[in-house]
Amino acid sequence: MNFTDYAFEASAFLDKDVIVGNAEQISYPALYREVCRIAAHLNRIAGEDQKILLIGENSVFFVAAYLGIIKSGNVCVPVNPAIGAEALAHIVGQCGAKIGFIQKRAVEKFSPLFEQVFDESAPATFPGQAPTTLATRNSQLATQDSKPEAQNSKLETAFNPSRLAEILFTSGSTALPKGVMLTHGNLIANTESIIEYLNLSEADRIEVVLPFYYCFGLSLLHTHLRVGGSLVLNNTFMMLNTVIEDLQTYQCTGFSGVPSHYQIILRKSRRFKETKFPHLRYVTQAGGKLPVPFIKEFTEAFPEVKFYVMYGQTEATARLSYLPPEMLPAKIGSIGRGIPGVKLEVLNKAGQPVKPGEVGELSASGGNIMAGYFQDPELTARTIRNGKLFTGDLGTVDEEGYIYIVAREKEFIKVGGERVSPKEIEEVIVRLPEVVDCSIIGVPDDLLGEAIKAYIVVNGKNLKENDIIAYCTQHLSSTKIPKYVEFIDKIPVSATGKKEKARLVELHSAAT
Amino acid sequence: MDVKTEIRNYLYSERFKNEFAKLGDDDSLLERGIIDSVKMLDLIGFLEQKFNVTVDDDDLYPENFDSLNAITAYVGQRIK
Repeated sequence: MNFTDYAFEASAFLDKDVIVGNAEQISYPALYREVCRIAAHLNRIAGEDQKILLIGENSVFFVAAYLGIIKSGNVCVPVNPAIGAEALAHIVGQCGAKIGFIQKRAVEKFSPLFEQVFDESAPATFPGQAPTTLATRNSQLATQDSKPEAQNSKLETAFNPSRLAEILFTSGSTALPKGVMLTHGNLIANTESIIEYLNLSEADRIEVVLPFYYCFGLSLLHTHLRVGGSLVLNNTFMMLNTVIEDLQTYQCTGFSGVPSHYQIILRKSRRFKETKFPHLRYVTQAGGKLPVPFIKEFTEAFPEVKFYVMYGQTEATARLSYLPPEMLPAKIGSIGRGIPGVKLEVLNKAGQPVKPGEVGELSASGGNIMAGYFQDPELTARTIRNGKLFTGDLGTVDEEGYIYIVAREKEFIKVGGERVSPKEIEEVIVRLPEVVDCSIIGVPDDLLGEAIKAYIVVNGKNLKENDIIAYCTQHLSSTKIPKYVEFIDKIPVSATGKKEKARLVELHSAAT
Repeated sequence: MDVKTEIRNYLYSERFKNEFAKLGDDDSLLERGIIDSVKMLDLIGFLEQKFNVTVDDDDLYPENFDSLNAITAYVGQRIK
């Protein structure tokens, strides 16, 4: 089955808004009609199995284009609008993409990379019945003439679920991002599991502060569409009061965030903990380890709200494990166990499950495991072996099978939940002719979890911190720009000539 | 230097500047993508340090931070 058809199977004609929020809202039938219109147009102009880029923040435009591209049998490649032009050029080139759906304010910057660009105003001009604006406050009106056209667009149950639905680019251990290929079947499998353990229903309404170009954000979209729930879009998380007000105004039943969301809202807002959210049923946290004190602070302030600690990877569509909220006090610090349909194990070097207390690598099998890395069979073969995804994360288990991560993706830095590759930043900085060497490390940060620090060796003294920042700003997206820059005489290396980042971390903590 | 000039200089500093060519005093920083959550933290840190004010969480509304003029007016109130 096509994922879009699966998502809308029971919800396409619900008489309610699917997206709400301060900026825009749209009903299920109106959204479904836009999705069908976009899909039909793409079939006409592009056929199938083309890679189509989608660049934008969360919006009705993004959601309609995302589902429309997937429904058309083409492959959606969602991208952060803050991406640098060079990195985007690389992705466009690798995908051979000709078409981009790009939100208006980014069109000027990125359109030269595409043969054809569609912004927010485009879908209304696609041939189809009863042209209407994509986002409409008057969603009741939009529902009236929606049925005939939508019924014309067939629900393709025969669609092969092993076909690619999307490619999500994520930082790899090399400088270039790697594309995670997800099939329609992957999306369906993970959606089913998440709905089951979160017990989601049509009554659920989630406050969305996570971007839809990120797998965690997408999982919120997928699950809520499938159950006929609704999503409140908020792209200004740092305006904490808007989040608090959304939760109240829209009577949200759920909230999802990465560690920095919880750290910021608990630490920066005095009001949050004192506010009552009578409709809030649960919150979920993934995307890195939230320090235990914050989990306790949250659950003490909101004892009636279920707190789900979860773990996952883009390579697994999104989700791999969760810790049932009732187990949180007894198993605090654990990421729980595999979600329904996923076998999550900690394996030793011989490929056998570890004994309690022993450390091994987390590996997973299930319908949500990616098809592979785009155009990288070697890396795919190293990552998926015997049908199991090897996550690169090290962990252990207790007597009851609850998993604890001991070392997470060592080579990455997690800035506000976003996986950042030190190598990518290093390779940009060393392009400056005055730079001899550069090493990037993550340093603890109260709000972002980790912040980026650059240790740089230069020849001569003319290069200043500002020059480094300026150069990075030109070539990297904002999360990848170092917060700290320090010039040193040389980068410490081990006897074998490997850079010893651990010593830089010591250097930093000794100085602070 | 007056408050507005200080803030303008900050917005034109290396960390921000390639995001925009020329910034009108009332242009929306959020809509133009100049401020995301990471930069918002940076901005709050700058305002607190530079003008010795406390950015109260009750003030975290777009109206207070969405343009050069809005930020200037907000800081002006806090200084008094």
